[in-house]
Amino acid sequence: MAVRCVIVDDSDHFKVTARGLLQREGIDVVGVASTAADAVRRVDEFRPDLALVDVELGAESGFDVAVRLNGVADAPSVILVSTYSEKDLLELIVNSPAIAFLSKSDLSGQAIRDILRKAGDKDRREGGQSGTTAPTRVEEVQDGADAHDQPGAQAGA
Amino acid sequence: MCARLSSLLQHPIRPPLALGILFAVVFVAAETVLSLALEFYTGSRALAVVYLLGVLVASYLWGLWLGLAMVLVSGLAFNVFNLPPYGSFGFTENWVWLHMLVFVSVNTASCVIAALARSRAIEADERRREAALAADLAHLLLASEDPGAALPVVSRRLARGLRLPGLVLERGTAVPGEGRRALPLRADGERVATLTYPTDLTEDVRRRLSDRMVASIEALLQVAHDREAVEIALEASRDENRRIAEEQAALRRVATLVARGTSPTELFNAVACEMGLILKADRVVVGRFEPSHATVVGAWSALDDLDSKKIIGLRWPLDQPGVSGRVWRLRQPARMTGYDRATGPVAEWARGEGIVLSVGCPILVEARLWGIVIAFATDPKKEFDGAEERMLAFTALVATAISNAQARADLAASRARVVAAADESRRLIERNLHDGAQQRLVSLGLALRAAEADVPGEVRGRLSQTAQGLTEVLEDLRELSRGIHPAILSKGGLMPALKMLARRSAVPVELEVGLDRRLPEVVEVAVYFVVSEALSNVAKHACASEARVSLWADARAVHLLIRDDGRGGADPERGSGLVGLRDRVEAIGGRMDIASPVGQGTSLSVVIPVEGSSGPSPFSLPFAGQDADKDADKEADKDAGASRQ
Repeated sequence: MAVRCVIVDDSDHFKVTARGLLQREGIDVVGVASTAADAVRRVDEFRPDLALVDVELGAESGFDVAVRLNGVADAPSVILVSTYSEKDLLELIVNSPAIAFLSKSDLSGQAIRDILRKAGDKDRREGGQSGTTAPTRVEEVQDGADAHDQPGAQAGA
Repeated sequence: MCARLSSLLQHPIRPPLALGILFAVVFVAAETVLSLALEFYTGSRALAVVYLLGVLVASYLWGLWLGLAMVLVSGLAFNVFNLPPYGSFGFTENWVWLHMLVFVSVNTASCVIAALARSRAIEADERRREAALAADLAHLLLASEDPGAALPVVSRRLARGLRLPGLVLERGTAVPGEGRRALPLRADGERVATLTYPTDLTEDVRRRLSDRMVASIEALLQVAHDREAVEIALEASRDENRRIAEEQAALRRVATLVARGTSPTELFNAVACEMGLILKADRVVVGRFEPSHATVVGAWSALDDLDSKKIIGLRWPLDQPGVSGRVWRLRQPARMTGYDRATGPVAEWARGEGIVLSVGCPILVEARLWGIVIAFATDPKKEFDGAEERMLAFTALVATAISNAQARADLAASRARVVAAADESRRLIERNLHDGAQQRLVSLGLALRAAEADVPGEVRGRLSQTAQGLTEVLEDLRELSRGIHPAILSKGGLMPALKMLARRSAVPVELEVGLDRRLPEVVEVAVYFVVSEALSNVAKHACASEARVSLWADARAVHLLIRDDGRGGADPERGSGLVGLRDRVEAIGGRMDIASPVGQGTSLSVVIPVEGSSGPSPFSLPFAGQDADKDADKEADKDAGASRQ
């Protein structure tokens, strides 16, 4: 079963390109949104497994959207995306409920599945012991990306 | 004895004539007897020369006429008793006529000479007395501080010296009483005194008085008058010099305060104090005009200075009776007495303070109405004569000081604006790079990757290389953007930004941040760049094992302290980018201090004010330019109209 995903980004260009790329790589982009309110509506409507949220949404902050989406019923996993690299925003990312950060230039179906799988593993580990809440780091994901080529477990599923 | 004789002989008033006639009769008789006795014993008629003695005395003491009468009587006696025919008068015998001729000639000549000698002696004596009198008068008039007050003494001395008890010298124009006449005495063409004398003076004395004494007294009065004028001018000039010196000293003190960058309140209090001391006022208030009121910005009181400061910050409406409203409307000094019937908060305050008089003067800065200085008197005796002029002169210079302070404040504000504008434009460049080029490159990269899937192997490899190249360009652009403006600062504020700096630092950093709010952007940016540069310096030069960054803020300022445990000895003036950072910190009103003793590490401390840094300068004009002036003119018209009605 393909991962169902909503893209939240204010750049139409990126939404079109990313949608095409992800669809091709086995991610089912069920909806797109440009604003926080839009995003909440789409998530409510499509109940996706995943939301790709751009850090910058014009006047709004992707970090705030991540918090809002985390609070809805049946919340999707949130991956923050941005043109910035992770190291530019790390201190903000670690405080976010998002499960990971993915630089837009590294966006691929495989990268997303790896993140979801890692998050699933961690969820299972944390099932027994409550511990760190730090999201998975992209570098760590990439380290193991080539080894395991399988659809990741869906976080929160 | 000699003196008494001399005085008798020179006394200008002759003995009575009757005494003279008696003297003549007795003397002629005695001389006749004496000459007969001498002739009897010596047989010589020549000793009849004793008659000459009586003629000389009579002529000298009683004058020429009695002298000539004496000559006549002596000649008669000589003819009758000393010449033949003895016992009767005759010229015929033995050259009697020749005897008589010689006798009468010699006696007449002696008589004339004696009379002349007397008049000359008396005149000489008079001249001497006049000279002594003039010297006395000169002494009396010129030694006295006030020549006018010396006039009674001079008058008495004059009367005594001239032996004219009825003579009176009076100040100014005096009307002579009945039976008296007046002689005006002038100095500089102006009648300064009057000499009055009884009309019964002899012509001779009157002439002496008007010809000689008046001229010399006038000359003296002129000198005294001139001296008085010079003294008054000197005193005025001394007063003026003292006043100018006081004002200069006051202004120097004010200017020093301005140069030191003293707070506006302190400066305006000092202005009020200096003005109060110059005018000897009881209270002084400095107010700044705003569109509908004057705000008290400085105060001083001669009695209780501390208490007087309480009114600072009060707002006095300009549309109610009071000096400030008038100065505001007319742009000229104004004064007001009596607050008994006035209404409004100013009048109430003035009544409460017992103020009876106030004089206000506008402060014009660069030809625009900036504010007002008001001097108050609680003492009804104070009149503040000419205060307006002195206040204007002083406020003109105070205006210069305010203008300077304003220029400094404006310059500081302008530096801060330049820095803020530069920050803003860097932020925009970063933003545009991010939203434009970077965004496009990312999308292109993704599109390339999508295309890779659709093409055969060889082309795919080349596409993949191109995509890799794009990714590298993107990374270069990101690096460039980071240097221009840190994205994390605008998105998350100082805390995450500093954490990022700490994380990236080559030397371990302990971060203590005590901030409960976001700071103005320009402050955040300055703090960020200072920490960034400082940590980079620590890594490059300090040989430190640890650095510590502390940041905290109180109500007024942000404090930043960066310390390391390195080798110290850093020279903040050379090389490092800290010089530019110091400029940036100072431009927004902050201070940066560096201590770097050799072997004891380097510590860098920055304090940046956050309150009031964005408000208008307290020195700047209350409102900008033309409109305000027009309003003021309108107000003035209204005021003029009201007073016409």
